[in-house]
Amino acid sequence: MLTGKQRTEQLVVLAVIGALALNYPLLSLFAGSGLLFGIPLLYFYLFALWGGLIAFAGFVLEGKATQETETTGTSPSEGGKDNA
Amino acid sequence: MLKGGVILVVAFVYLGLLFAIAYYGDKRADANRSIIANPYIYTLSIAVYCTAWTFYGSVGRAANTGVGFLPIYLGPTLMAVLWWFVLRKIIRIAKVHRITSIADFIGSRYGKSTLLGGLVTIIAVVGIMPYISLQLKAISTSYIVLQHYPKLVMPYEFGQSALWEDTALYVALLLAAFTIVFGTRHIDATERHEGMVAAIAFESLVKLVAFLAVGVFVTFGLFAGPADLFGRAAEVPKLARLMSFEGMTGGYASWLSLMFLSMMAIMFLPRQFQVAVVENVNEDHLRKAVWLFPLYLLVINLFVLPIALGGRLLFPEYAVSIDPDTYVLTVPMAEHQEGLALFAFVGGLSAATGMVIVAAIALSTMVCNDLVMPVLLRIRALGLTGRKDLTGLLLGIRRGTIVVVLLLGYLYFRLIGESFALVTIGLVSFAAAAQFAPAILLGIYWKGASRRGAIAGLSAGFAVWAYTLLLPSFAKSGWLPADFLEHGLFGIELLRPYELFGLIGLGATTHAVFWSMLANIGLLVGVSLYSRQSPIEQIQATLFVDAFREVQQRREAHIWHGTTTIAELQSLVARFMGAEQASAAFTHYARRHAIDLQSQVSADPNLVSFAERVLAGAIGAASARVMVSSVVKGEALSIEGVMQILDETSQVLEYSRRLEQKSRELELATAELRAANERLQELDRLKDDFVSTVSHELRTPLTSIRAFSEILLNDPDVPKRERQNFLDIIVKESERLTRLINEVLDLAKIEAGRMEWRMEPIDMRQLIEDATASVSQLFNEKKVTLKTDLPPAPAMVNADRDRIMQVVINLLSNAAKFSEPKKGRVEVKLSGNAEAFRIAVVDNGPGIPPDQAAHVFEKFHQVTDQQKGKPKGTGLGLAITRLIVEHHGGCIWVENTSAQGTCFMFTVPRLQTMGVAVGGRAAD
Repeated sequence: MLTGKQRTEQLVVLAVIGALALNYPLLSLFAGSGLLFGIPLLYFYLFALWGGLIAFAGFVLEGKATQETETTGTSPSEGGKDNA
Repeated sequence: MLKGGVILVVAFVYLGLLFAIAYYGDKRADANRSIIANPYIYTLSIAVYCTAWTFYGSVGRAANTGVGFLPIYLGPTLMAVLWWFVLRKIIRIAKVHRITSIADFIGSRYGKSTLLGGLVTIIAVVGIMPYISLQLKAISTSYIVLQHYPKLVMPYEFGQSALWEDTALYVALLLAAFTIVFGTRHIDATERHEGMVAAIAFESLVKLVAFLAVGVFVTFGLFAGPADLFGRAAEVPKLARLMSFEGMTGGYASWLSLMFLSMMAIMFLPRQFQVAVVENVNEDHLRKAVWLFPLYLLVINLFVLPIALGGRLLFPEYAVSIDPDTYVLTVPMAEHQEGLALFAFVGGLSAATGMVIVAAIALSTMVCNDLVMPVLLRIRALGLTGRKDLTGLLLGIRRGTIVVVLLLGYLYFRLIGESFALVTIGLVSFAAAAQFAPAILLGIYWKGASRRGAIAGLSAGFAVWAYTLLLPSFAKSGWLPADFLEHGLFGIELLRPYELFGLIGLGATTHAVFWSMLANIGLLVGVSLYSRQSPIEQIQATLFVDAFREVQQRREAHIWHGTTTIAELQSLVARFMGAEQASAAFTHYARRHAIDLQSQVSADPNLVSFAERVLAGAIGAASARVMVSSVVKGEALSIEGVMQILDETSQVLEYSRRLEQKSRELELATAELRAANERLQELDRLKDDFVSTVSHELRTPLTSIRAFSEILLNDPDVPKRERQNFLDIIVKESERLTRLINEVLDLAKIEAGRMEWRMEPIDMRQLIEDATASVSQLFNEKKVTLKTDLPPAPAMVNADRDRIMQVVINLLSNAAKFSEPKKGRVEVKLSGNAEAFRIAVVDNGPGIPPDQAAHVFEKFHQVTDQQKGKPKGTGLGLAITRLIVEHHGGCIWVENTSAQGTCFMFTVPRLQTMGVAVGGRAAD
């Protein structure tokens, strides 16, 4: 079971990894010209990484053990319907 | 087909459709069947982030800098990953406190500060102006370009048009009207606009599809797929550059700063705050938005580079001077795809209108709630606090604000719009929005962030932003003297806006971001550390930082500590929201808390807090506070309330403090136990030693007794003299044995505390004389001189006579034992001071070696390095002596341990009673 804290940690690590991979110096490894499958290497790298980040974030938040723990504190119901 | 009229009709039909959607959305919301209450609509509404900047500007930027358009979308992706706890916390706070805008949020966090709310509002309005102008520029440009179909012309070819012929002005006015119609229809308690959100979500779909359509057309219609497109572009050296990082102006530093800016912008642009926080229906929608929104960004960016490269290939070397910002439009036009071009125009229109509508609504709420109302409410002359119905006034202010904001945007466009690319204009706004980040992010994670710190940080950041980004843009367009760019303010070179304090090598944006963030964060943290928070600031800080703690609701009640009536409260709320909404809110409250409002007259603190929250939804936290305190009599903020809130925080501290204390105590106890255990082990060892020594000491005399007895038994012919001699030894050894056993018993008794002490007043002089008398025989035998030196006055002590006698005799017999016959001299001296008497036994024997002096009082210790073989004592005498002296409260020690002799000394405390009585007794 994934606890809220674990999830938070996973997301932070994901963001840090993303920030590192999307910046100098890692980025410079892919900065040259050149085509991969007919697509510029740099763009291929950026979009693949981008897609990977999205997939992982989705996996962490929508994975099996999700509809659980921290929804206990969902917003107070008085949110907007007091005057409805 | 693409005549001006047709385009206008299409545009109006599109806007009409939007209005219909918004109207439908509002109707559904009123019927309590929201159409926006799902994560997909929520995600699409956040996609209002993609404006004309994305639609037109990204392609332009890609055509010039290659990969440079991407950080604006990668940043939000990284930020979205963090949304689950950062944005969720902000949403939670906003819901609890009925936050209606970013200015409200910051003002509320820092003690419901009106000043801060106003400051944020001003920064937001000034900062967003360029962004709105960008949208106006995009709409009017795209209209003009499309209008001239099939010719490809650029707007700047006409020069500045007259005011009344300027498309942008009409666009601005039209959008203002449109925003007013469905942004400010009525005052809502939560400041939520369901209809608008529905329309925005629809617009997000339209722009996505339109952009993809153009992208697919370019990639697969004009070229045979991406490989073909990129392959052909790679053959042109200028375009090949765009496919590597080389094209990126400003390099990695600029890349990083753009990413940072967009990370902040996605959260803190007023319109993003509006859709992501204020319009959020359910915070669980974030779960999907966290990955769906980046996915939207990814998809809409897929074809940016293909369109840019396709455009550059299609219009080689600017044969026709086409602005790359218009490629989305001009490429289909050049290929005579009229329908696609028109669709692209609608897509661009949707991107631009979406942004303008949300931004204008967000800004109008802010200006009304956090700038105008607080001022109006404070001007007593207007008597607003007493007016019956203020809803009309509120709506009026908001509508006016929308018009003013759009006209300001138009003004900015008119002044400088033509001199910059879309993206450059947008970045100026991003940098302004980033100024809110420190105050909010630090504010929700650090209780210490104070109002003064926030004001100082925001003002400084804003000032630096204005000086390094906004003013230069005016200067570049010729509205300010340009030499201030090159030579700095007042000709001071260090103050050049693009090279502040001589910092060179960064792009204009990076440079501005660095300095403004440095000033902003530095002052916020610095001033906060050196300023004190007021009670209300502390309360708000605690409520914001601990937003996820459940105790929340209870706490807030304590903030209001005064009395008012329910009727008064309700009429107050009604003034701002209308009687119907007010009574609905109060009824709902009563139902939820199961109380009967009719039967009660005075409002309890919970109800006052509730009223304040409802009002905050309509007019902002700061104003709501002013209004509620106008009807609540008495202290608005009680000491108990503050204490209560601080208490709950300090309770946690208290627990941990107690825990620490317990563990310290435990450590202490452990140490004591360990010491006790060591002592026990030592005692055990001593006991073992004692037993083995005693056995040994007993065996020695026994062995000789037995040996001599056996001789006498086995050999009856032993000469009489010898027999006499043997029997003599046997008797002596038996005596020794008896003495030893007695001493062991004594020692054991004293140590176990079972010795019976007969304490009585005795005269030490008498005692010493008795003792010397009893040992005189011993001294006479050895021919050792014994002298006494006694004071004339009685020396009264409280002691067990026999025991003290034993001590003196023991010392004297030791002295006799170790003295040389004939030459030996032993002296007993008695002296005294106020507290005790001291008895010294001095001899002139061989003395005790210094290294043994400390041990002579230990059990079975015998001074071993004597020349004459066997020791003469049992080794227990001095040990017993010491125990006896110590039992009497005195002490015993050995001095003068040289070759000249030994001096044993001990003290006995003086009798502490009347001298007369003592004297009497002593005389007996």
